[in-house]
Amino acid sequence: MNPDAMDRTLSWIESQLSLDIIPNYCDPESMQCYGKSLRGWSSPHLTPDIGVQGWSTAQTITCVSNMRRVLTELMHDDVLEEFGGKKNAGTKTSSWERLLNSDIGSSSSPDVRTLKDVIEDRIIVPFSQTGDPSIGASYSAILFGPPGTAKVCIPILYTPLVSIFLLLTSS
Amino acid sequence: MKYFFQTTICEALSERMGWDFLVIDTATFLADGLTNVAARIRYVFDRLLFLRKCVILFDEIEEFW
Repeated sequence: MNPDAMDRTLSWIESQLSLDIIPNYCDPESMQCYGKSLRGWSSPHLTPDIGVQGWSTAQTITCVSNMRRVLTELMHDDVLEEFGGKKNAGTKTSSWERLLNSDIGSSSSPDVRTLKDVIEDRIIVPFSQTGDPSIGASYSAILFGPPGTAKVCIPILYTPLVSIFLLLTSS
Repeated sequence: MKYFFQTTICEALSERMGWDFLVIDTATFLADGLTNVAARIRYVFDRLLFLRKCVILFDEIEEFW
């Protein structure tokens, strides 16, 4: 992105913001009349006193929200690079499917669930939908266990000496 | 091995969702030295708030508790 162009665009947006007063707003209860303010933009090639225009305001707001989206993406990439993160373009299921599963809690309990099941239910499904995730979605999970318990694929083949717990929290 | 296990789950999860992936470990918090840990933690979290659609693994973080 060209910083000069962005600077010019922002200065324009800031300088062209105008305020209209609708003077004839009257409150029927108190019988008093107030001025009502209307904030927005108008294009400079229209006559100067034309006031706030719907079209110009809509264009400006579209521009500002696009700018916000681009900046959000740039900041994201910047932070990811600073801490050595990894970009994932698109969904790839192979390593998730390859990951061996494990029981959470006691394997003999009738309502035992598996690690991948819980993550699927609480994280993958809710966050793959558009919009905000619903109640029950987990923004975080704590994976913990004594040192040495968390070997890559233990629990499926033999009973581990110590369980690995998964605690899911909603925030 | 522990590191590998947790990394495997979180990284596989991020790939499954198509989100980016990031590991924050004790070294990240100690980058400015022991005396500046509090300020560094504040800085790191301020920066992390800019991330969107990202799986973040806080690894071995119990060492700070």
